Amino acid sequence: MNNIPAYNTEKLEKEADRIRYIFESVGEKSITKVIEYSYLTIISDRKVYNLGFGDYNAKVDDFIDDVNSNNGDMRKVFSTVLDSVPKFFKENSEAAILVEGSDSVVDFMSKCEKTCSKRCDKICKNFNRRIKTYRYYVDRNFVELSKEYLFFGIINDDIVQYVPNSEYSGILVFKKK
Amino acid sequence: MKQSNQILKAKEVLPMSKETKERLAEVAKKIEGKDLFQDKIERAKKSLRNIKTLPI
Repeated sequence: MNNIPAYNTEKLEKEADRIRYIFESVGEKSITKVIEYSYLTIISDRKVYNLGFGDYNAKVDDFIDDVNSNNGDMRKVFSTVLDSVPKFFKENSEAAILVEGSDSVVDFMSKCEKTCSKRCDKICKNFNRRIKTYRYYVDRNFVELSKEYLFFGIINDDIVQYVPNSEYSGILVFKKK
Repeated sequence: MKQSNQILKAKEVLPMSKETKERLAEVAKKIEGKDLFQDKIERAKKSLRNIKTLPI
């Protein structure tokens, strides 16, 4: 069992092509966060959903998915996202989930540089940070997770069998039948 | 099979107050029908555009 405490989530009313969970992160400040599974495409007769995740910014009434909140509760937030996966599969057992990091895009580093307090030299420490966090979790628990889930890695727009401790830009997760 | 499901499921779920529920309900109303992650979804579609079958 995931030993990190998770926030309680509220499932929002299902819309045609997406499933959303909402919760409040409580750290230095209170931040509303949304986990969204959005329909993308069909692969091998399975509907694939993108796992999206971001902060609600009340000031501009919009969502941000490419900043680090630095709210001091990263582990709890990560645990909450993980906790939503079995909930999603419980209702969508035939579906698959694509996980990619919003900090893996080409222009992330130049955006990060403007607000980041880290003094990175040539390599931005936040680049690819999110997908690395997911990969690290999968790698550490691969044997147990593989009993119920099938993992594939996305690399250069191609799909390969997931091999722990390898570099991927995305992870595709299927629930075993 | 049951055990691996437990890996993702959190052992402890922090309770949510009534006030928080109300705040979240307000945000939920505001975002209903809105596309929140349009750029990310487009990028994800691009990542999968050449993939039609699994390598198994």
